[in-house]
Order: sequence, then structure tokens, then C-alpha cells
Amino acid sequence: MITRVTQRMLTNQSLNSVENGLTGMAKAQEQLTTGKRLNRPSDSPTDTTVALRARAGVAQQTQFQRNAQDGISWLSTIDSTIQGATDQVRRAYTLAVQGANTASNGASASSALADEVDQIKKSLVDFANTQYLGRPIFGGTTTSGAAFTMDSTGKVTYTGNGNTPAGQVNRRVGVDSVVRVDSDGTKVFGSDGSNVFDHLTALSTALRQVPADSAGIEQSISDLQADMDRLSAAAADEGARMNQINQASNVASATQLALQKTQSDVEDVDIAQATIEMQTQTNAYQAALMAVSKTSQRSLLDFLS
Amino acid sequence: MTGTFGSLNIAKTGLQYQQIVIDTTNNNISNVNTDGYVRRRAEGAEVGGATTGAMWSTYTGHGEGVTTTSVSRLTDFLMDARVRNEHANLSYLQVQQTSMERVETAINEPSDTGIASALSAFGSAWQDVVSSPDGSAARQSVIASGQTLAAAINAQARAVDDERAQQRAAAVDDVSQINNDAQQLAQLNHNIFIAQANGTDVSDLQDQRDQLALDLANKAGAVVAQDSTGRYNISINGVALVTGDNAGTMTVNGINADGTPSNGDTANPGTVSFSISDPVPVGATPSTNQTAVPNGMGGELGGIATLLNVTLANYRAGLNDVAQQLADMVNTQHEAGYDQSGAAGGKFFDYTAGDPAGTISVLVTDPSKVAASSDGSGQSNNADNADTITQVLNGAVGAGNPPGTPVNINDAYQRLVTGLGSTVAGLNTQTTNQQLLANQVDDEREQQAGVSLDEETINLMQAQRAYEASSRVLTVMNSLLDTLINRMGA
Repeated sequence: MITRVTQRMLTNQSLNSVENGLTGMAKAQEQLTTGKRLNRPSDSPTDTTVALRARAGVAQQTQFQRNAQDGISWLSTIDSTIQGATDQVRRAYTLAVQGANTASNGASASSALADEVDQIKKSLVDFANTQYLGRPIFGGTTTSGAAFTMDSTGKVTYTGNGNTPAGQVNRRVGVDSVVRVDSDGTKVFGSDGSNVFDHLTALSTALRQVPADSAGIEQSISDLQADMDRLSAAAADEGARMNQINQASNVASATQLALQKTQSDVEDVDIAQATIEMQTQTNAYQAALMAVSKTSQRSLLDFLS
Repeated sequence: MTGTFGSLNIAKTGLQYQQIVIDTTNNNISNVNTDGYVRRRAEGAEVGGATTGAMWSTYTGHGEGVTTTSVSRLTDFLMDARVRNEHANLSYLQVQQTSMERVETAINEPSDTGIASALSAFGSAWQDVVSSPDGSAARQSVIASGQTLAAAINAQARAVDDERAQQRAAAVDDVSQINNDAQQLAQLNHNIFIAQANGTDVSDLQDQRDQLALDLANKAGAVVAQDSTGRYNISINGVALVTGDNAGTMTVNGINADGTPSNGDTANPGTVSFSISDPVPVGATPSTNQTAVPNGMGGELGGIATLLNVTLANYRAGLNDVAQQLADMVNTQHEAGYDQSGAAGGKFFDYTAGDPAGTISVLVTDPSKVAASSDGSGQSNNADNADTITQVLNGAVGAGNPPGTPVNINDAYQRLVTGLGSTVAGLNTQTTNQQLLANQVDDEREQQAGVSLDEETINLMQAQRAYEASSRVLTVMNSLLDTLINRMGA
């Protein structure tokens, strides 16, 4: 119980209440101006953990999306390249069939077919050495810039390393999700010794023979058929990986959104609530000021004459 | 029956007493806002006749007026002790709170510029190397983000070290003030005792002494005991600082006079402790016999000791752990990979043992030396090791994060920050509560010892009226005597 009140007590109390009012206002103002509820760890230690985790998570998911974007570019390049290569091989297949039918037409006609087959082989080598950002998409992690090399005899061999475990180009698109974004050149164009280029060379040679080597042409037809099958298998494989990476990218973006929401929930201020809080604190401060002005101006001396 | 002129004497004592009351009130009003001033009251007592009548004589009077027995200081030793205790606790918390708030601001979490963000960016930079291991742009940016991370850790370590330096300086300053106060207090003990024996009013000296005692409580949680002679004996956590007229000297161990740590190592300054030499008479050479102050001191100095020996030291050690784990983890994994030329990777981070957080830096400067590859052929754009580094940073098991006790560096840092946040939040709550408690005891003390202007005004009016009445008695007596002497006879 207060038994005796002195001026100094009143002054101290006034000072305390005015200070408290100002502190409350400063806190409310900080929240409103920074837009953050969590300005330092002590504002809420538990929320700080959540915020730090969410922030780390957002950064990680953003990176996954970047990785996925890069992977999608790789796979798209592979996709269009395989499409183009398939068209070329189909054309060669058509030529082979034509050659088998027209072998009796004469050497000059067959030779024209053989020339086109040679052209197809050259353009197919270009397809096989397609690059994405300077790196051959069928060459694995090789630094040579080419997946397939043609020697002086026209023999094309695989010089990439996509067929070795260390040669895989992978992109991490989820915490435990790694997707291969290149394609092993030998799985697309065939292994050295019996790849699509060898088959085209054999076809060209068979067509140029006089009389035409019909058995050789027949062999080429079935070989090219197998090459086309391999290409479509490779395209299917690439498509499946494209799906996988797209899905992972969607998951990453959904996770990112969820994490951003979590981060915002714990870090960001509720404007409506903060505005009301600010108003409440302002009122409290004004009340304190008014109390001071009322109490500090009176004393017994005012009433004595 | 007293003599005729005796009545004049009674009026005189009344006038004298009221004069003293007015002076006391005057003094109270003058000191209404003086720190440590305790209101005074002139204690009056009636003067009677001889209490033990002499043989064969009887006292026939009816009171001989009033006398001022003393001017009392309206305070209470127990109340003062409580005020000192609560203020000591408040200082103990406040010094920690303000310091930790500064550290917390320097740590700057959660934000886009703190260590946590730099760690995330560092992990992402390695993923970018996975995407483009050829060329040097991504490799360069992994070095740059490593440097940013190292700089962020250095900055935080430096902020903690700066705070410790500031607290050490404050400790040195506090100790010198404590010694000063102790000397003054011992001197006052002596002066008050002598003055009291002479019958002089010692209230102002007592006010001064109480102020010093409060200051000592604030500074070091000093406890005051009053001995039979009225002297204050001061002890700090059980160790005597002032006994009677003798004062001891406090020394701080572990800090040089200029505020630097005794071992010269600002990163590992060692613990701080205090000792007090045996009290000797004021001005004499301090005794060489020192008594160590046990841990758990209160007041500002106790708060500083807690900061230096526990809170800040633990945070700095935690930061060192994070820095060292980060460096070791990345280094080991980096050494397991191969750089662009196919050579095995070297250390990525460098640090000095004993102060990893303060000295961590990036050792790799040449982008081609970033060991992103798991393929040692030198002819490969393999970047598996870069991916593994990111994974290892996130707590996955790898060469840099051996199975058994895998460390997630992000988690380790988050724990550190949250721990600090909890400490500061705890200090904030405790300080607020203690502030209320201190205000409460201040109020209680003010109720008892504070000057109320209204009350003093009333006292003044009362004394004025009494003085007037006593004067009136003199006039009446004068008139009576006039009648008696001039109008009688003749």
C-alpha cells in the first residue's frame, strides 16, 4: 500500500510510463517500417530457427530450379538433335531401299544415291557433335569439344566419355534427385565398329559397286532399321528424363513457394495487426503524457495565498 | 511555581525549536531533487522539571518548554539493503543485456547478408560449377562466395572480440571506481564516528556514505553490514572490501591496465577473475595478501565477468567450431577431388588453429585449381565433386563428412544463433522484471525517505503558526510585565 506519495515518486513514475510508452511505440514503429516481425533472433528464438531454415531451403530450391532449367536446355537440345538425326537416317534408309530396287538401273544412278548417302553421313556427324554452351551433348564430360571424330579414311569413332560412369553429366534437381542430362553417344549412334556411320559407309560402298552389291544393300537396310530403332529408343529415354526433370522442377517451385510462405509467416509483419498495435501504443503514450501534464502542475502551494 | 521571567524562557524555547523546524523543512525543500538525500525531521521533546527532585525540594512548574533532541534521518537500514540488493541485480542483468543486444545486432540474422545467407550462396555457387565446370566464371564465383562467407565469419568473430574488448575496458574502469569508493567509504566511516562522538550532525555524511554503498552494490553487488559503532563493513561476494576504517584494494586478474587481455591473445583472452587485498588503513600501502572473489559476483562487474567468461566466450567458441567444421569439411572433400588439370585438389579454406572463426580465409585463388571433378584425367568436365561438396555442406555423408557423426553446417550455425537469441530474450525478460522490482523498492524507499513538497509546506505552515503563537506569548508576557511593573504601586 502506498502510504506516502512524494513529488519525486510521481516524477519517476511519469518518466517510467512515458519511457514505456516510447519503447512500445519504437517497437511498433520498427515492425511497421521494416515490415518484419522478426528483426533479431531474440524477437523469437524459435521463429528464428524456422526463418533460417526456410531461407536456406528457399535458396536450395531456387538452385534446384536453376539446375533443372539448365538440364531442360540440355535435354531439349538432345531432343531436337535426335529428331534431326532420325530424319537423316530415315532418308538414308529410303535411299537404301531405292538402291535395292534400282540396282539394275545402272551404275550412274546408284552412284548418285551413294553421293547423297555420303552427304547424310557428314551431316549426321555434325548432328552427333552438336554442342550446348560449347559442350558436345553426346560426348559426356569430354573437354575435346567433339563426341565423334572422323579419321582420314572416313571412319567415325566415339571420342567422348559418356559411356563411362565419370562421363555422365548430371544435374541435381532435388535433395535426393539427380538426373542425367546428356546422352551416351554410343547409345544414340551405336558402338564403334557398328555405328550408324559405319552402316552408312557400308551402304555407300555397296551402292558404288558395279554391279551393285545387293546383299550389302540388304544388310544396310536392316542395319539402318536397327539404327532408327536405337535412335527412337534414345529419344524415348531422353523424353522420360525430360519428364522427370520437369516434375522435379515443379516440385522445387512448389516447395520454394511453401518455404517462402513459411518464411513470410514467421518473419513478416501482419500490417493490419501492426497498424492497430501502433495506434494502441500511440494512445498509451499520449495517455502517459497527459497524465504527466496533469499531475506535475499541481501542488499545495497553488492553493495557498 | 516558576519565576515571572521563566515564562519568557518557555516562549524562547518555542521560538528556537520552530526556527529549527523551519530550517529543517527549508533544507528538505532545497534537496527535494538531490540524489540520495534522505528527508530529515527535527525531533522535539518537552522540557520538564528535574525528574529526580533534590532532597527537600519539590518542582512546582508545569513544563519548561521544548527542546530539539535531534534531527533524525528518516531512513531504514533494511530498506536501504533491499534497494542495494535489487539495484545490484538490475545492474548485473542490464550490463549483460545491453552488451548482448549489441552482439545480436552485429550478428545480423535472419537477413540476406549474414553467415546463413553466405552459406546458402556458397552451396549454390558449387552447384553452378556443376552446371558449367568448363570456363572459369563459375569457378571464380565459387572462390568469391567462399571469400564472402569467410569474411562474414571473420566479421562476426571480430564483433564478438570488439565487444569483449569493450567489456574488459569497462571492468578495469569499474574496478578503479570500486577502489576509489572503498577508500572514500572507509574515510567516511571514520569521519562519521568521530563527528558523532563530537555531537555534530552527520546526516549529510551518512547520505554520502549510503550513496557510495549503493554505487558499490551497483558495481559489484556489495553487501553492507553495520557494526556496533555504526560503521559500514562492505563485502563483495563474501570477501571483505571495507572493514571499519580500513579499505582493501580490488584487482582484476586476466586483464591489463589498458584493457588488453593478460595473455595478449584477443581471440582467446582466458578467464577473468577478481581478488581483494586485505583492508588496510586509508592511504596506507595496500596489503599483498590477496583473497580471490569466488565466482557468482553480482552487480555490473559480475555481469561483465559472466559475459567475458561464459556468454561471449561460449558464443565465440561455438563460432570457432562452426568455422573449423566448415573449413575441415570443405577441405577434405576438396582434397578428394581433382582440379581442371587433373591434379588432386588442395585445401580450399585456410585458418589458424586456435582461432578458426577469426582467421578463416580462402586459400584457392586460381579458378582452375577448384577441384570440382571426380575424374583425375584432366580431360574431363566432370563436376561430381562440386555436387558432393554441396551435399556434404547440407549434412550428407561424404569424404568431408565421415559417417558416424555427420555434421550439417547450416544446422550447427542455426543452433548457435538460436541459442544466442534465447539468451538475449531471457535477459530481456529478466531485465524488464528486475526493472519493475527495482522501481518498486525505489518507490518504497521514496515513500519513506523522499521529500514531499505538500508535506513540507504543511510543516512550514505549522512551524510558522507555532512561531507566531510563541511570539504572541512574548507580547502577552511583555504586556503582563508592563502592567506589573508600570501600572502597579505609586
